[in-house]
Amino acid sequence: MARFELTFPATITILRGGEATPHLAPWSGGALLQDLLAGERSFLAHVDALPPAPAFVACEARATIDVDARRLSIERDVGDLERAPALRRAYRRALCAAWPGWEWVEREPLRGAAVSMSLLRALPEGAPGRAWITHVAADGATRDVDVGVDVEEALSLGPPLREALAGRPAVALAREAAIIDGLAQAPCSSGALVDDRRRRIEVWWSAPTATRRAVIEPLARLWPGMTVVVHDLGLPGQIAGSGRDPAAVRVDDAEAEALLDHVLRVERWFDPTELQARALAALGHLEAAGVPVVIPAAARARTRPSARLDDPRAPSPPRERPLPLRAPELHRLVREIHELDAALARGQGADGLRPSTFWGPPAWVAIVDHSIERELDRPARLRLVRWLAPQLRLDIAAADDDALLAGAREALLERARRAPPYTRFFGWDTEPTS
Amino acid sequence: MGYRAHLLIREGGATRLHASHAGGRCLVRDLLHGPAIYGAYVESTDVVDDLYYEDAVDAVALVDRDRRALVWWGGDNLPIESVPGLRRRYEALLRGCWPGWEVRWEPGGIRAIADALAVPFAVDAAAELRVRALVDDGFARDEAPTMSVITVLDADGAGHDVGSGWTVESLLTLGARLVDDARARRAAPLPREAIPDPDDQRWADQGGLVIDPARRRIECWWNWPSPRRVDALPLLARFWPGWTLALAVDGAVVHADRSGRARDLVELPIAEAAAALELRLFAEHEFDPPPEAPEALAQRLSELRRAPRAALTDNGLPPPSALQGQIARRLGVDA
Repeated sequence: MARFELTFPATITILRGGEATPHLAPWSGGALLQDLLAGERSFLAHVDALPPAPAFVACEARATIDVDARRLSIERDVGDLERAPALRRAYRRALCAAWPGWEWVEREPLRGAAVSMSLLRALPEGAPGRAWITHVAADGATRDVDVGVDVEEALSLGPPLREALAGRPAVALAREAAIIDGLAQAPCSSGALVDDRRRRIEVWWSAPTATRRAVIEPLARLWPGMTVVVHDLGLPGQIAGSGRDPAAVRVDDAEAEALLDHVLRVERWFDPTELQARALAALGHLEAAGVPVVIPAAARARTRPSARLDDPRAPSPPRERPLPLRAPELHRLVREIHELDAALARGQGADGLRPSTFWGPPAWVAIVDHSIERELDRPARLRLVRWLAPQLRLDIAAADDDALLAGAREALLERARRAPPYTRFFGWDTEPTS
Repeated sequence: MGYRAHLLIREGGATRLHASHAGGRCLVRDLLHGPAIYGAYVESTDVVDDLYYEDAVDAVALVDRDRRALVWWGGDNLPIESVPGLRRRYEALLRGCWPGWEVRWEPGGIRAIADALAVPFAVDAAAELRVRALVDDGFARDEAPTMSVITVLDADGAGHDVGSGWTVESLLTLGARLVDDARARRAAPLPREAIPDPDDQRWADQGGLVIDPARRRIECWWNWPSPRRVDALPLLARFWPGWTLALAVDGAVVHADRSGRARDLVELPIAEAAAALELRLFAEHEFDPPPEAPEALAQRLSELRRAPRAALTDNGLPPPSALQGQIARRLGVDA
């Protein structure tokens, strides 16, 4: 038997007078970036009122505010700024405006003497959107190719990469970031320019972690005679480096701010009370199945900066809500259920989707069940359940559609009842009751 | 469960592929029966069409009767192959049991043998190697206990020996800058070969490099040069464009060999090796049957000779009891 503690926590450590004080914000895991935009005064007042963090907490987001040095760092977040360099630039501008005179320490250098890297034997088919590489040949011929793997993996092939690129189709250029299907998305999350004329390779990532930046040194050894450098200009920098006008792909400052606004206020907005209510409704299925649900007392704390809605610099409440469930993971889950249903309705297989979502812990099983019931009409429910049953290896002997739906639901709940305790999964805390 | 072996016989220009679900367990011991008995044993195992064990194979052997050549890889199931000083002595013993035959250990295992036979083998072209690559000053920041020994040869062939806390794989990612980095480090004595402590978790990964800048050639070795490592060599060679990277199968003695020094400097003493082989071949393995009486062995061999395809169980060969207690003498320890 397992019980579920419902939080989406962030920890914020305040360094003041040489002392470090960690605080726990139980619902701020998905909102730390926007909360920081409330500015120095409001945010610090908010954090000082938060309960202390326990010795160990598996948090979704983590920040350190060094009041003495007027320096802040975000050690972990839910990855919103990693979708495109334009988002990171826009956030930097917004943060500098909200925290005047403060330094944002964005990238800690790698402290180790070695970095883990992958050496590919060949360029696999991979998944689109991970890296675009522009190759400028010695004669000036230029091609942009989606390599299907992260850029550092593709570059690990060394000079034979050129031949591999020649065997792949060219991609049509697209804007570096745009709102598609209600979400801010980028056509690729990393890229490189391999310029044989200048004997130069320029690499970028939308998530330029310390490990990735450090891997440039061993990568450079695989490209003798070429200078390998990192930049943070993203896809527009890559296109400009190849001698082409980047206007078609560049997102200007105003557009980047609009994208950031969408990410932080629309996609990531959620009301903890609403989340709690909806999650409780979902987990009610678990309770009905005999699995106790526990909301920790700390999770009832006020967890958002009180001044943020009054501050003229603070973001406004959400103007639109693309999907009915707010919490990022619920949002994603329901979106995937709809995508799956749409694919099934079109008569397509579900090969391109991710059934792994449905393999989560009991809380997820309950939410899947809940989402199926709440979000889909009966024909869609049937389509989904028919697909879901073999995916979850639900052994259902159904005489008719009603029996199939009931059988799937009971099988999901039975799985929840039988599941072992989990420690952590997508923001849901679970622990054994005995 | 099992110790899966692919055993091959080449004869009359044709190659026959056999498979044994348990025959990999004691391959290094079974081979000591010599070509007649071991060949008959192989013929008693199942003939198969494909290399269906592929990467999951635990041992392989090719008995090439046309060329009178034995190529083998025992998967280190009896821990001899992961101790270079033992494996060299074992191979000398094996050559004595296969007189007139070329005997060669193949550290690449099944893939190398499949290549040699042109047997189709499903290689995952997209498989990647994960390696801890050193940053530019990574060698200088090396403070860990010694994992690898590096010898850089100078123009007249003398060697400059240094130790490093990094594995051979990591050191190779430095590319040619390793030459100057190693030359700048204070020299250290070459470590001697040894029999490892069974609890030494680092043993298999320890190894070394001999770098010859004049010939732009590197030889590398590990105590256990697994097939995965052999497979990774072409990938690691990318860090050394214009150089040749080769595996030194004999282990640490390559440092002495290439720098003109006597092997005695590093080599495991022969008496120590003989005693360890005796133990590992005959005494340490709980699954082995007790040494059989000479009469029982004679009867089994008689059966094999009368009916080479007789229904033996997998790994049905008794230990080559005639060798027990004789290894030191056969290796010439007394001489």
